[in-house]
Amino acid sequence: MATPPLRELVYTAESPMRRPALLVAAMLRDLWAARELAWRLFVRDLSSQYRQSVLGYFWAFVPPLLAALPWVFLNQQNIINVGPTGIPYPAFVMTGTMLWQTLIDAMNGPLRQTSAAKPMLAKIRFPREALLLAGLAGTGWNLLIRMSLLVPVLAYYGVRPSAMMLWAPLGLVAVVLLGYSVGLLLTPLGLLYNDVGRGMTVIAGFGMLLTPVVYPPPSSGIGGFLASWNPASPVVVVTRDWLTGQDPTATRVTAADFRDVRSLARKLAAQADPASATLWEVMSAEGRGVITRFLSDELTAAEAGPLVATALNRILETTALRGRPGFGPAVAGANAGVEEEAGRAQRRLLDAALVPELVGYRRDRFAVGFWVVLASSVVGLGVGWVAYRVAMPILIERMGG
Amino acid sequence: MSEVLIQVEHVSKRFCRSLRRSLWYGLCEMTRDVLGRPMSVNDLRRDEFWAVHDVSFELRRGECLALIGHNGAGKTTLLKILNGLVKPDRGRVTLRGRVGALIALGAGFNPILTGRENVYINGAILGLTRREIDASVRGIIEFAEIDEFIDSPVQTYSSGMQVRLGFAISTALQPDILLLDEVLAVGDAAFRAKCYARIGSLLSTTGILFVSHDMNHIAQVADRAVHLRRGSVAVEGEPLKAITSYLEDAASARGGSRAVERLSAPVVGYALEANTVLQRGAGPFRARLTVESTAEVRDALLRLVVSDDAQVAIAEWNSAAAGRTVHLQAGRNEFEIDLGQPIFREGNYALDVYLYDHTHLHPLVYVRNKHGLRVAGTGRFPSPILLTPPTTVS
Repeated sequence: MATPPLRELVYTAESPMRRPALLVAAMLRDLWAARELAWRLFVRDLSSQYRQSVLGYFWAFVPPLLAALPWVFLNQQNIINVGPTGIPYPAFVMTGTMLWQTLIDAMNGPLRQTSAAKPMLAKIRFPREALLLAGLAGTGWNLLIRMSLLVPVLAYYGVRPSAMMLWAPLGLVAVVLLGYSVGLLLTPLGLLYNDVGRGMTVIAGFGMLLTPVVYPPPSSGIGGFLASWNPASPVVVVTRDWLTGQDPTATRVTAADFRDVRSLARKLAAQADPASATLWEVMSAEGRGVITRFLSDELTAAEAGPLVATALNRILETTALRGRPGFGPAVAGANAGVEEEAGRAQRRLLDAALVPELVGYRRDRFAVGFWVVLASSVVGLGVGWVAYRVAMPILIERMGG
Repeated sequence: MSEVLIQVEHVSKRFCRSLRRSLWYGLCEMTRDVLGRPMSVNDLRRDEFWAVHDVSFELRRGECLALIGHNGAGKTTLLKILNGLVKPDRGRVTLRGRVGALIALGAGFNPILTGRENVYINGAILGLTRREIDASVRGIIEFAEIDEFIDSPVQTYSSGMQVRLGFAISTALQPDILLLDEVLAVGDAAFRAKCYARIGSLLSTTGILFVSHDMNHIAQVADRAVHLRRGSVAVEGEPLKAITSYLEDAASARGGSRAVERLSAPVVGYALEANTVLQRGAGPFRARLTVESTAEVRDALLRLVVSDDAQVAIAEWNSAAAGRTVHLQAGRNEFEIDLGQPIFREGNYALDVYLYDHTHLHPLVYVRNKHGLRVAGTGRFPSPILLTPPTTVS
């Protein structure tokens, strides 16, 4: 009888890590074998999720909207003021909460999916990769729903399409990967101890406030430190830039630059030295008014932007007077230093190109952070997958059923 | 000799009694395995015991091996190890060919989805491709006899219907190895018979390993049996040998602890003498019952019941059927009863005594599970009852 040789399965106590080549081969084989089952599990989860409800897909769309609304409300009522955001705040906060929800969704996915499959795992042998793939597909589906909500919101608030948006899919992949790899690494532990699941719920709520989700990243203080070292920050910030058509690597005016202009204006207004006094005297009344308002601190960040530009223009106009007849060499000499300082500040503002959209942080460090986090997530995903496979028999033993 | 499909070599598995400690050991083992450290499992850690200890056996194609043992003897654990769900702590398991396992029927059924949708999901879980399921879905529905319900949600199914559907899907796999855990305990008799027929038809191409508590079934179907006692192999070989060993354990486990003895007025004492070791198909099988009563009972009914290991009555001597009137005098009464020949299968039984006041339908003596009875024999006749009429047919 010409039958093909039978596939042989061997189970021993030995750790599969002792034979890495076999392990990797088995992982890839199971991943391939799992796709059909993964698809079925995904469709099953999806259809059973909405079948026993009257409102159906309504529930898919409402929570993402509701998550952003309180922040928009608080901001509109001036209860919280997060500073300049570059785009209208509702669009900003909606993008942020959507990304955060996707991150948390991806992070909870593997543990939730595996816990729900416990009775199946304890009794039936099937490629476990199917659970992971089905969970990932579920996260992707939720992401699609959120995106379909976000696009009209962004359009409504006047965010224009730009080439930067082509990067957005990569950003979304990074968000999902970060959440998913962290969740996957925690899953074996989480299946043993339910402390992990509870901890993840707490992080979902608390972590959102420690990440620049509803506010732009602060550049200093504890907030600045957290924004720099929290691995969720760069992926959220950079992906939000891409989604809203901004260039995350563009050189922007930093808070420090902003301070430069402010100190210059303050020096002139206070007439701190003879040169400033002379300049203040010869400056037009309008120029003096602009600078006074700029220094009054009664301005919102959005108003301050154009005002800074105008104030600088007035300063430069004044310093330009030195060549005119009627102004002595003393004035001319005093002007030289101020002119140089003001010119430097203005060039920086012009570099920023979008003067009215001054954003008080430097983003290029987030661009670097983004790639670091993306690479780490890919490594974490691989490690998590191996750990998940290796740990599964030990976990099943303790699942009961 | 056909090929070996399952090879179990010195397999051991330890379990922990304390949940908290079990989780901690799990964490240690996971860490060790993920880091690829070699293991050291020569000893039991605190609160542990061997759930399966040094078990070895083989199963060939066309063979049917029964796994018997008391609850907690390690049968299901062994099946889970064979199915790759749980890792052995020692030893080695080799499986050749496609494995079908019915460790739980209907696991993975989603109650909200329809039967048909669940057929596709469960088929995919068991490793069938879409095309294979398409080809066999008709047969599955027919076998499960749920034609008119197949497009209703599974939560509207009775448990029997779920079992039928699960069995039908699992056996559509055409496995080389079939692992069956007590799954047929549910389901009605007709469907069970159908399942046995299906198993029988698979047997020509398959090696079957099954767990059952139904000794009749094992005696009929199995080629060999393994009796597991607290994780270790007590007996391996002829099914009846293993069954006898299992039933002996059951008898000694029964002891006197589960005996029920209740006397009601006017009866104040009783005693039973009977030969406790009998030869199958051979006499004598006699009992002498002594009843002490403080008053006269004119019309009484006496039953002597032989019940098996599971306390199921399998034979009885009844005074009404024997045409004997039982009349209790005040004082001491003696009854001699000839029970004929033990025609039931070798094993351990109990002889139970029931004496009723027939007028008031009220039990006077109620003794269950107290008097052990052992039937010995050659073990060559697996049927539960051996017909040995006094005259042979000419």
